[in-house]
Amino acid sequence: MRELPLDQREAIMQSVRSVLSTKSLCPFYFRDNFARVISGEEEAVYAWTSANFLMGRLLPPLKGIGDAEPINSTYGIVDMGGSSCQIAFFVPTQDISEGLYKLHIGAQKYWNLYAKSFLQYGHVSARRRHLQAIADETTSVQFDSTVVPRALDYCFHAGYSENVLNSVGTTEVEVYGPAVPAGDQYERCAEAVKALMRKSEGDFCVKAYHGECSIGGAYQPSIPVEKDSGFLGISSYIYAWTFLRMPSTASLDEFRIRAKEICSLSFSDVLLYYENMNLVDNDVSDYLPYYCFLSTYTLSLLEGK
Amino acid sequence: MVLLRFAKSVLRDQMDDWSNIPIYLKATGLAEELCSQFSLYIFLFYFDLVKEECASCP
Repeated sequence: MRELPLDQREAIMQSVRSVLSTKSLCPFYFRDNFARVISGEEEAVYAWTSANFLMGRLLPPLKGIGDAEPINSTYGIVDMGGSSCQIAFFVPTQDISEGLYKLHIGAQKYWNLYAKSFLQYGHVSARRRHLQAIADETTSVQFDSTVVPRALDYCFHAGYSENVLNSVGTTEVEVYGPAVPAGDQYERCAEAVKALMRKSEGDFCVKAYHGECSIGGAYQPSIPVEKDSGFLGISSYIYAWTFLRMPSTASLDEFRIRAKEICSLSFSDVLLYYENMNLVDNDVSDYLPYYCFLSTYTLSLLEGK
Repeated sequence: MVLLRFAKSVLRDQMDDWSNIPIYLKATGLAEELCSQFSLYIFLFYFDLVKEECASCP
């Protein structure tokens, strides 16, 4: 919803409020301000709160008053949705120059969290940015307007193609994967995905915040090292982890090895691979044509490059 | 409606108290693709609602 222009956002929210105000449909207690679009920071903090509550790390330190005890380790979270992605973590030193969220739970305790959201860095929006950039580049040069222009994308599995509109919505481009899997398909896709991190916008951040920066020119404090802790990847990270059949604590290097294997599959092999997975609980079939992109993007996001 | 059904199912034992239980909806980033499906759903839903009201109102 945050990606939509204000007028469209408001129109949808008004419809939602009307539905929730109709007693025959929604028998619960509802006021108009109960339904709204939350900020990216709130989304990050909700994810952090849910994850730490479920992991049993949230409630024990809440006894007494003041800031929560730093000796109790918490999990940081990285959360990838379709549209945005979030990061949130507790900073025991409380040294947060920007993006501080004071999370009050209970009467008198609070957590000092760093919380940051990146709009259009969710995997669906990132893929759209990637494909539109290809379509824009293809249509920026002269082409025969009687045929649909074509462009090769190494993030598509071999044998897969789809039509993509350029960002102004005037011309369709057929974006296609290579005819047969390229030996260096992962590397080529990773090179293209790099641009989505918008690292070049970080120059000012590096200067202003002495290198404490993440992606897209955003400030991020140093990640604290806590005993028995770490980061949890939630939401769409599950798709990549499930499809690549990674153990939950796989290292990024292990993930990269599997991502390379996945990128080297043709689209027909991907379909076969999925059939053989026999998944019961997690349906990951929605993104079958995009697992090379999703794996590569996931890794790029986690490495911040 | 899926969310409402879920809420009703979770709180089925408190049915008598539903009107006192607040319900919140907090929308997130949500991709445009989902938004277009969502808008269509809202539209269809209103269509049904209007049909119902027309039937009961002379």
